[in-house]
Amino acid sequence: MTEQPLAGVTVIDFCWIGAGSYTTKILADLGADVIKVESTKSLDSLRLAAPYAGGIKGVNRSGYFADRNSSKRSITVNMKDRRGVELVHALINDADVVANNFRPGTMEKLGVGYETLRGMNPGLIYIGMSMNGDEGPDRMMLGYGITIAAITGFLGLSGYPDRAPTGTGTNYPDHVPNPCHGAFAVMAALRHKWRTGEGQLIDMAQTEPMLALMPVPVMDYQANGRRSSRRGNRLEGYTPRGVYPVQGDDRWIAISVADDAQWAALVEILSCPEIARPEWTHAAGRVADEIEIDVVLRELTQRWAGCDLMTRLQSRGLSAGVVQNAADLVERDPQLRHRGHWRYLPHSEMGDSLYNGPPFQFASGPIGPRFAAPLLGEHTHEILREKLGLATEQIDALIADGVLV
Amino acid sequence: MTQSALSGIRALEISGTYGAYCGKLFADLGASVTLLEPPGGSPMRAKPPFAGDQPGPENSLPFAYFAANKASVSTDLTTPAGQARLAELAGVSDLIILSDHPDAGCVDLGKLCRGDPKLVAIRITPFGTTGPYAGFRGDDLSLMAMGGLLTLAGFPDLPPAIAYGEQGLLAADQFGAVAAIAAVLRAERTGRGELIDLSIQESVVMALENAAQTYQLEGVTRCRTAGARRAGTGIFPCKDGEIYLLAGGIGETAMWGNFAQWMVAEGIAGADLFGSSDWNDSAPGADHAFEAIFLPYAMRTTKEALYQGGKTWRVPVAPMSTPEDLLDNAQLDYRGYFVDIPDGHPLSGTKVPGAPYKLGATPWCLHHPAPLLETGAARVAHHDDKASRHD
Repeated sequence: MTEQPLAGVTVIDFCWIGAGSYTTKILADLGADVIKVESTKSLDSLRLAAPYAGGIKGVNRSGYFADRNSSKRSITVNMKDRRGVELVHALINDADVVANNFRPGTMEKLGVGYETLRGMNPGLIYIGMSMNGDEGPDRMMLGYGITIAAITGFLGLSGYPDRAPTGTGTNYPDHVPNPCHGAFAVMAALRHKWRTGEGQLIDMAQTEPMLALMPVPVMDYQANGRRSSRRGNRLEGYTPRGVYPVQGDDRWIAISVADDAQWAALVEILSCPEIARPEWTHAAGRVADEIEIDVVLRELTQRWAGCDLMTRLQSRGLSAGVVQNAADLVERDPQLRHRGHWRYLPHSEMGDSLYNGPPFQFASGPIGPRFAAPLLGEHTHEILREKLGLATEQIDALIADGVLV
Repeated sequence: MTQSALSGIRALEISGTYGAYCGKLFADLGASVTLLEPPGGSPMRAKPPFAGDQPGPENSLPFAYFAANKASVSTDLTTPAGQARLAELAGVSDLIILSDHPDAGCVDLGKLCRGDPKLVAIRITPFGTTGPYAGFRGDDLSLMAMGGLLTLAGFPDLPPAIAYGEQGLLAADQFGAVAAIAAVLRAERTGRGELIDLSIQESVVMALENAAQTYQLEGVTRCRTAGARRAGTGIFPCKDGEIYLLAGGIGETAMWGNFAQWMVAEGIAGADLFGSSDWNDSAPGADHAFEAIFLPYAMRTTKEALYQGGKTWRVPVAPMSTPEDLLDNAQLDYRGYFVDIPDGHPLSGTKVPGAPYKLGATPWCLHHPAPLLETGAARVAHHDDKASRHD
């Protein structure tokens, strides 16, 4: 088997909650040894976020935490104790990457600011991922995925024009834009380090990757004086494009028509005179009547079972997909099953629990989560023995003294 | 002289309407990226909106952004000459990114990888290259549906509503870039390349927050819930627009105390309620009680003032920004976030999003604009120069 891409890379991980932990999870699932520095005194609040295994709350039972922390090891350290900080410094001395998503200044207060650490380890890559970055008048603002969605304009542009914005219904920037950009930046910096020996500081404001993924509003405003607005499921270049009801309770199908030939196929499959109007044969006529087309389509699609209609439309070259919920995806989607997307990893408190595999497959061999999320402090002994050569009795004494807790 | 993190990496991007952001992430950190276009130009050149609302190969705003920093070459992959050109370009590439180029079917990545064991190649498709849905088409809407994110978005009384900006396709580009750079790093260290098969549907599945685990562990299927609000959470009007307020924070983080102190300090009538021990933001009617106290204050306060208040009092709140707000945002301005499209393009001088991360030693850089369709041949020479330098 080919070695994992990041085998041999060590990450000392101070990230917590959403985007930060997802970033280091990506690195861990690619083979890096990610050591999550935690404390029983100040928990990663995601450890106490639903859902819980069996519905029973506990610091080692959150499925949300688990999926964000696969393939990582956990050490508990009291960073308020000088001896704790010294042990962490010793770990960082031999590490490649230190990651955090605190507000600026917090890492310095903990004794692990960049200037301190680079003095010890000039090859260190240090990534900070606060909401607004290390510099600027609003650097101390605290943010969540949803407030980042708001300030970037992403939330305000998502939803129906005549109703309030709805966004994704999630903290979207936490789950894709920030983790992927953070992981990409760290790997780029690893390449530079391997070529030159030089480490560096990566300052990633969590607003900025999200903005990089939506260039059109600011460009359209400058070039055309146009203020982008919410358009529901419509998109220029496709008519119709929408989400329509099918048989069942709250069941839907997404259909996009890109050209006249696709429209003709749709009309043929739905085979109903109401929709076979000559004025809708060409895109211009459909654009003019898009509201009425939606009304007619709703009437026709709800007679169909979603998967049947999807298969028929796909067989004629249309982009059509049923709206799948979590149960559909986990239990029934034959494509995800074929690709082995879902991974069940054994965990001593949670049993076999569900993890996302990565959305990519490597021809050379398996890639993705290697083991389940750690128990709080599960690897404290193992890491200190292996990395710093401490004896079990020394570690036990430091635990008893409140240093490794 | 500042160095680039990815200088020396030569990438060939055979893209259509997606795949381009994957290439851009490489190009902006110094990789040499060549876009292979069909003779009429990349399909993204036809993607609206256009400058002056005039379609034309150099007028697409998305193309001007997503193809910046790249070189371009036009060739017809359906012809023997085009195949020879492909072989030649692939031969000087470390990475090939293949997505929905109109002639993607004429590119045999497996063969190219077998011919060059160090090559990394990534194929981005709607559902992956094998399996029961491998032949399915997918656009952003149908993939956000099939990937499950649509089921979480919108009001229960309306059909699910998609997120702005074709984010499903862009999610694939981002995960594609992550997979590709990991494989390139390994190829440089070990000499072993990789063939990567990326599914856009699965990239969307990565964004489901805790929905899959909520189903598996608690048997609950999350659905769209817009409009069901906890007091103090959601979008509220203010003097000059709207804000998003998350007064209670998320999970166990109790931020109500901070919010209550802020409101009391502002001297708002009735704000004592928020700090009282029997206040419960999830109780029936709490949202109305909240609005009766908060909205009169919000309606006389600007979104910027509310945002600054949140900063002072440690309460998560943010303006619902418009494009003008973003271009005027003091924080983004301080960081020099928006940058001009460089000279040499009809859209030169237009501000576009800049560095998504600041790498201290190897900074992000927008050094040249999107390639003009006509000058493709001139630009690819640059790619070949680099190739010969690093061979």
